[in-house]
Amino acid sequence: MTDLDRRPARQSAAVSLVVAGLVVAVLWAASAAGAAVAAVGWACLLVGVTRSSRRLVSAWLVAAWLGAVLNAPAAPPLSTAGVVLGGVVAWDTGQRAVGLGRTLTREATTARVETVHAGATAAVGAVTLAVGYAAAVVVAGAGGLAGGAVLALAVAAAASLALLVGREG
Amino acid sequence: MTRRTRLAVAVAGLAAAVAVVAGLGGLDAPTALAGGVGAVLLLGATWLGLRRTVVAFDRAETAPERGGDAAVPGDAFDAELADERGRALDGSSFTRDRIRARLRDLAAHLLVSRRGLTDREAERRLDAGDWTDDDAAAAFLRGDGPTPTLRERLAGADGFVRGVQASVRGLADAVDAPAPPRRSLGDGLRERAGRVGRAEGTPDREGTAGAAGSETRSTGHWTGIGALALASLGVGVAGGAPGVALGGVVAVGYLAAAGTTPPDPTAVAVEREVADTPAPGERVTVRVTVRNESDDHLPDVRVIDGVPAALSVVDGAPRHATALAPGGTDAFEYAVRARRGVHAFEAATVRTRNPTDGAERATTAAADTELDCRLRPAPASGRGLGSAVGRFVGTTPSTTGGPGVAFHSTRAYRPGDPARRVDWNRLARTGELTTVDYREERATTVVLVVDARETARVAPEPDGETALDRSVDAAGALAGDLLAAGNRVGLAAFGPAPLWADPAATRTTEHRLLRLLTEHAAFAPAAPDGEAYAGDWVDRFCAWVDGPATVLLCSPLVDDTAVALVDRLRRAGYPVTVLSPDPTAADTVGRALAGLERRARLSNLRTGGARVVDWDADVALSTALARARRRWSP
Repeated sequence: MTDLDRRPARQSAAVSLVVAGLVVAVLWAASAAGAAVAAVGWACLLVGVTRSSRRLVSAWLVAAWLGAVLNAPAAPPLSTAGVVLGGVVAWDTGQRAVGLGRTLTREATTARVETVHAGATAAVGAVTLAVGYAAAVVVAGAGGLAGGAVLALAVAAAASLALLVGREG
Repeated sequence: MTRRTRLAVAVAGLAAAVAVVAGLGGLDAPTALAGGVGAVLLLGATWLGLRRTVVAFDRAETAPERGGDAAVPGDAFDAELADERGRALDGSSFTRDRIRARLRDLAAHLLVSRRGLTDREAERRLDAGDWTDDDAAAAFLRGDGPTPTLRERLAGADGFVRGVQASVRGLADAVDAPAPPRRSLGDGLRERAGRVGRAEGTPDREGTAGAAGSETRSTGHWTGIGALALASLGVGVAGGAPGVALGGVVAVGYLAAAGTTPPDPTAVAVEREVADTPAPGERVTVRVTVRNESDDHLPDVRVIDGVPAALSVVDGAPRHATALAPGGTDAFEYAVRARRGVHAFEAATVRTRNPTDGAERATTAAADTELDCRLRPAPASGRGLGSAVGRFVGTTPSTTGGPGVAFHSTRAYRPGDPARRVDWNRLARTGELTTVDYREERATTVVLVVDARETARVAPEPDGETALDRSVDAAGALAGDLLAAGNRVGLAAFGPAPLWADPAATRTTEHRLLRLLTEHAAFAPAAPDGEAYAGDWVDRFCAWVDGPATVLLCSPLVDDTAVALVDRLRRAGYPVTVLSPDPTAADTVGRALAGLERRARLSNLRTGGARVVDWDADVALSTALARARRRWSP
C-alpha cells in the first residue's frame, strides 16, 4: 500500500484559517501595524495547516499576540482581549488539525470530534473572558478598567497560573 | 519545586522587584508596582517558554494498515553491500571476490543468451570491458575495480560499491530489464528497517502504542499557553494595557480547562463485523462499532483498530475519532485484503480526551474476531483455465473412441452403454440402436508441486503478497481445473515439511487438496525449520508417484535449488512445467540483481526444454497462462 496520508484534518484546518482571518480583520479595524504582523502570522498558519507543521501554527499565535499588543493603545480593551481569544482558538484548531492528521490520518472520519473540540475551546474562552471582564469591572467600578483593577486581576490570574503550571506548561 | 514554593518565590520576587524599582527610580508607588509585577511576569513567561521550546509531538505512531513483513529478494545482497560501503581494501576479500564472481557469471550468461555470443567471446568482451559504455561497470567486471573518485577517497572508501552499482545497472540496461535508480543502495534498507515490527518506536505524547493503562497524561496540546498567559499579564500590567491583561486571563482559563480529567476509556466497547470465510485476495469489509457504555459524555474517543499482522488495509482507515453521548454508538468501516489462513484481530487502542484536548487516557479494547480465509472451489462458470492448463501439462486427445466431448464414431449398441450416448435420432429414423463414441481424452496424472521453502516466502514489497501465497492460490485454482478436465491430480510440497497427497480424481479430491493447501503446515506463513535438498526430494518423489506423471511446479525461482529440482525431475523422466510467480523488485541494487538472476534462471530452464510461465505480480493467473499459451502455440 502507499504511505498513509498524514496531512492535517480538513475541517479544523479550515476553521482555524477562518477564525484567524477574522482576527486579522478585527485588528485591521484598529490599526494597520498590528494587522500587518498578524497577516504574516496568518500566512504561517496557512502553510502550517497545509504542510503539517506545528511550529508554523504556533508562529501564528505569536504573531496574533504581537498584533494585539501593538494595537492595544488604539483599541478598546474588550476588542484586544477578543483578539487574543481568537488567536488562541485559531491556534488550538490548527494544532488539532495537525495532531488528528498525524495520529489518525486523513482517511479517518474525525468531523464530530473536531466540532466538539472547537465548540469547547470557544466556550471556555468566552466564559473566562466574560468572568474576567466582569471581575475587572466590579473591582474598578463602572468607570472602566483602570490600572489598579488590572493589577489586581493580573495578580489573581498569576496566582492561579502558578497553581496550574505544575500540571501543564 | 512544589507549587507552593513556586508561588512563594513568585511573591517574594515581585515584592523585591517593586522595592528595587521604587527605591532606585523614585517612582510613585502604583507605577513601580505595575512595572515590577510586569517584569516578574515577563520573566516567568520567558522561563516557561524556554522550558518547552522543543516538544516531541506525534513522532511515532502505530501503523496497523501495513500488513506483512515479507523479505524482498536481494535484501541480503543490499545488506552485504552496505557493509562494504565506506571501506577501502588494499587487496581483495572473500566477500568481494564472491560478489564480483557472482556478477561476472551473470554478465557472461546474459551476454551468451541475449546477444548470442559464445562463452569464449563473452569472456573476452568482459575482459576487454567493451560490453558496456559505462567505465565503472566495465572496469569492475574486468577485475580491476573503478578508480576511486576524490569524494570516495575523502570518505575512506574505494570504488567497489560504485562498481557493483554500475555493473547491475549496466546489465539491466543490456537486457532491457528495470534498472535500479542511482544512489539506490541503502534506501531500501532504511525503509525496511523502519518497517520492522508494527508498533514503530516508543509511544510518545500523542501516539500511545497499545496498553498504557488508563492513567491521565497531558497531550501537550496546550504547551505554550502558560507562557502566553504570563506574557500577556506582564505586558498588560507594565504597559498599562488592560485588554492584553484580560487576554492573559483568558489564557489562564484555557490552562485550567486543559488539566481536567478525561472520561474513563474502559467505558468504550468495540465490536467488529467481518464477512465469513472470504477467499484469498478478496476484499473484506470490516465494520467496527464503538459504543459508550457509561453515563458520561465522551467528547473525544479515538480508536485505532488492531488489524491482524498479516493483513493490509486496502481501503478506508482502521482509525476513527468521534464524540459519544451516554449509550451512544458510532461505526466506521475499512477494507482489508484477505490472505490465506486464520487471522485473529488484535485489541483496538482506545483513547479518550477531555473537551479541550489537553489530557488523555488510553486503554485497549479486545473483541474476539477472526478472519478465516480458505481456498474455495471456483464456481463452474469461473473455470477459465481448463484449456490453458490442459495445454501446458500436456493432456492430449487420444485417437481412441469412448466417453468425451468431440464426436469420434458410432457403433452398434452394447448392453451397458449409458443411455445418454445412444443415438436417439438414428433410432427414430431407422429403428437401429446405436451408440455414439466420442474422442476420448486420455486422463493424465498431474502432480502439483509447490516450492514451500523459506525462500518462497518473498514478495516485491514487504507488505505484498508472497510468492508462496500466489503459488498456493494458483495450485488451488489449477487443481480444480485439472480435475474438471478429467485428470488425476496429486499435490506435494518441496520444503522442510513433507506433504504428499496421492493423485486421485474422485469427487472429493478437490476439497481435500484445497483443505491441504489452506491448512497444511508446509504452507504456513512461517516456514517450518529444516532444509530441503533437491536430490533427496526427487528420489522420494519417484518412489511415491509410481508411474508416469506430469509435474506442475509453482516456484518463484529465486535460487538455484529450484532449478536443480526441475533438472532432476526432468532427468527422472517427468515432464515439468514451471509456473513462476515473480517476487522481484528493482528499486535497489540487490533487488535488481535478484531480478536479473531470476531472468537468467528462467532462460536456462527454457533453453533446457522446460516450459516456464513467468507470472508478474500485477497480472492475473489466467492472463499469464494465456500469454504463455500464445508463446507456445506453433
